[in-house]
Amino acid sequence: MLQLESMVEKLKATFYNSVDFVAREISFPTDQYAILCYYSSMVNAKDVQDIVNVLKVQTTFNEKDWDATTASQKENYNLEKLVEYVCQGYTVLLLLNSQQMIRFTMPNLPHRSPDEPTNEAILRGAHEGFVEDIDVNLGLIRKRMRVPDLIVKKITVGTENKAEVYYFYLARFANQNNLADLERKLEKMKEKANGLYASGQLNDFIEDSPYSPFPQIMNTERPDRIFANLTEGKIVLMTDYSPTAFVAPVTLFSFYQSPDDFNSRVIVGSFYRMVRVVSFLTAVYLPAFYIAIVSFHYEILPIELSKKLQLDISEIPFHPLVEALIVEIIIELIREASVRLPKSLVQTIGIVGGLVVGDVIVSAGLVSNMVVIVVALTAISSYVVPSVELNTSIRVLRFPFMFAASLFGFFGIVIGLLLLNIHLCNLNSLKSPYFFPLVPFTPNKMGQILFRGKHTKSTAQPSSFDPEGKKI
Amino acid sequence: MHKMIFFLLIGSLFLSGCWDQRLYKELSVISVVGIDGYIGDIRGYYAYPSSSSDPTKYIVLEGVGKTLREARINANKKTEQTMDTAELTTVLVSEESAKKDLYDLLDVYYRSAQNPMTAKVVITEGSTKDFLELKESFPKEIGEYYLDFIESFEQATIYPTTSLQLAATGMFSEGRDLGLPYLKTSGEKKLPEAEGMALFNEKKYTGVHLSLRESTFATLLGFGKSKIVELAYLVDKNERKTSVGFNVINFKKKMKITQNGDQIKVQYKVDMPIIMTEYPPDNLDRRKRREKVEKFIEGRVEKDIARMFKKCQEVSSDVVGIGEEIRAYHPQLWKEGKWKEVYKDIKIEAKVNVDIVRSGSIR
Repeated sequence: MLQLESMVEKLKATFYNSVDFVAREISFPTDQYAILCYYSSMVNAKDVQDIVNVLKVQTTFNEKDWDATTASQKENYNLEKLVEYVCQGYTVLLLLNSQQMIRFTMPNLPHRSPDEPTNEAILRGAHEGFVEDIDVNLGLIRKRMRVPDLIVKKITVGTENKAEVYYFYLARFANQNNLADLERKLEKMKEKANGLYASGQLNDFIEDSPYSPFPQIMNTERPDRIFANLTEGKIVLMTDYSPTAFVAPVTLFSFYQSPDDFNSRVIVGSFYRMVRVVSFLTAVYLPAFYIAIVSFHYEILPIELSKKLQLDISEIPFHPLVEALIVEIIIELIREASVRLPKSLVQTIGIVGGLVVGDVIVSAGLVSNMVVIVVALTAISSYVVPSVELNTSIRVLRFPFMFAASLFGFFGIVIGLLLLNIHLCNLNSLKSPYFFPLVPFTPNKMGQILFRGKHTKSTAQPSSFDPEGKKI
Repeated sequence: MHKMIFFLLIGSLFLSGCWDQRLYKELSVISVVGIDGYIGDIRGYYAYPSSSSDPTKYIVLEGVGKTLREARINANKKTEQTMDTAELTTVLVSEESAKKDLYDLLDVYYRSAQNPMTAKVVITEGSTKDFLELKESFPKEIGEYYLDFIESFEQATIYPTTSLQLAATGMFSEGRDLGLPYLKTSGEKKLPEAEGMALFNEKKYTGVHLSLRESTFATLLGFGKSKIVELAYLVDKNERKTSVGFNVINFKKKMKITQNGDQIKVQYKVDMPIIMTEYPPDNLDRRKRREKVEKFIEGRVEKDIARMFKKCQEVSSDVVGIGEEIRAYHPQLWKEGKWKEVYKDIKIEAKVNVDIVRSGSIR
């Protein structure tokens, strides 16, 4: 038998007398006295009272398993366990006489409503997004995926500040090799990871090559995108309090697909998918191409263009590389500034950056018209990628190409292209080839890079990733 | 220390690119070159744009020297930038210079890898200076102007496709001679005008040129139809003038080569479906009328072709390329190195069959 008074004091001391920690004795039919403990900040007091009332009623009928409700569970008293539960947001009812405790699963943590993620907007289709609560997020997925073989697994990582990582997949489609690799990595993460506060930290554990410029895990905040990826046999990872879901294994071309493709008509969807893939070329190579032309290979310019271009750039005091870098850096500054600034001030940046800098910098003679066009076009085409992380990778990727072009012209671009291709061929995502279907070359899957087919045609689930073609 | 040396060695590899770097902004881009005179006393004119506003202004540099290269070096002394011919569109060569030897003058353009082989070669009546210092200003840059000028004639099947590359082939080919666009200046403002096709005998300009119409048939027989062929004749009968204009839809030629003793006879049989573009008396739906018009056109075309061949044979310039045909398919008639003499005496006949397939008017 535990002493009531001393127990309350002891519990409060265990939680460092925190003001939002509540340990209150209540009268309870079976044990005379019981202590109810919870963090008032994480629990709705009214809900707790309801459950306690239900329990009280059940005991008066003296039912055998009076402690069982949908939200409660009885177990033996253990202080360590109690601390853990309370920290996770449960309410614990300590029964002093029988040395047992009942845990109520009703954390009431604040979270947003599932609004559309602003950085992944689409035109048509569902406008829902994940929130900072795993139950809501799973609910959003289950709502779409009404099958029993959507398997959700949980692993607790970290030693002190524990975080829960959930991974889920469709048993029918998920590849066992990928799953084994993921589980091995998560296992490794168990001891090493401590305090996951940015979702990118999870990335670094799961990715095969964290130093590659290309993301090998796609992240998204859209349930419809997750749905599409699950049916393609991919595995989804989520942490408990983050709206970001990670998808693996992915190919480079997965980043170029958007739910919008299937929300619009076949021709329209295919056209925009094509535009996006072509935008990769302009985003990475256009500034390099410009530099190579004006410092090495100007003879390829058509005569109609050459006159204006030559006269324009002959008045610029800088080397073409420096000229392009000036505008590139200005654009990156504007972008970064507009991300950090409060929304109400972003327009100001747009005007200062776009109108003032963009126009005046040319008339001031710092850079030529052509380079502004080239860099602006590059910036626009790097933003059409539906995925944020590939978008940033692409923007970083063009700088090495610019340097290569200024050193060796087209030859430098080709060398860079060669290195990039070698790297892409080598890259893996959960031990699956990243550059599929180009490497390993799979001609009948090539169409998916550029076109979206008719959805009714595919009886089996569509797959953008299936190197061996084993799936039906 | 070793690390330092390693980085310096690797770093120096990157410097090798600077060797090849040619910054576009430090060049003056020559788009048209004019050549007067001949080796020994040569004048080169080099035009490059100086302002991009409309109308385009450009500067013509003049260089005098014993050779063309020297003339260019001398011209380069007059500009603050380096002259560069990578964007060259047209080389103008004066009639007098071309008469001596065209290849000697163009040689300088075949040597450097940076020269575009697609530049047009044009023979001018009189000094090329008049063609470069135009009195009228155009929105186009002068290089662009000449390029479009020649290309429009090429598309109208008046000239065959010309370029520095093809000019060299023409000058060295034994079975075919070179024909180049021949321009003159006309009018008060002395604007360039296409006059005909300059006939070459090997590397020398013969001094004779075909008229534009003869040039069309030489191109049709020698190279085939380009995009369009527009022709017009005048019926001048009974004091009543009637115009006959038509477009050639197709130009099918068959060549028959026969030998009769020493005499080689070349017979062309041409099928030419046409579409009428001008014929005021109309009623082409009547067979009699149609046959009459067809007959008239056949006669005129045959006459033009005959006149064209006569002109060519007189100066022994084989622009149509009969030699190539004989060398390839009738080697027993081909006399190596003596084709020019043989060519002068062969008999060339053309039989044209015109067929009006579309009258051009709605009925």
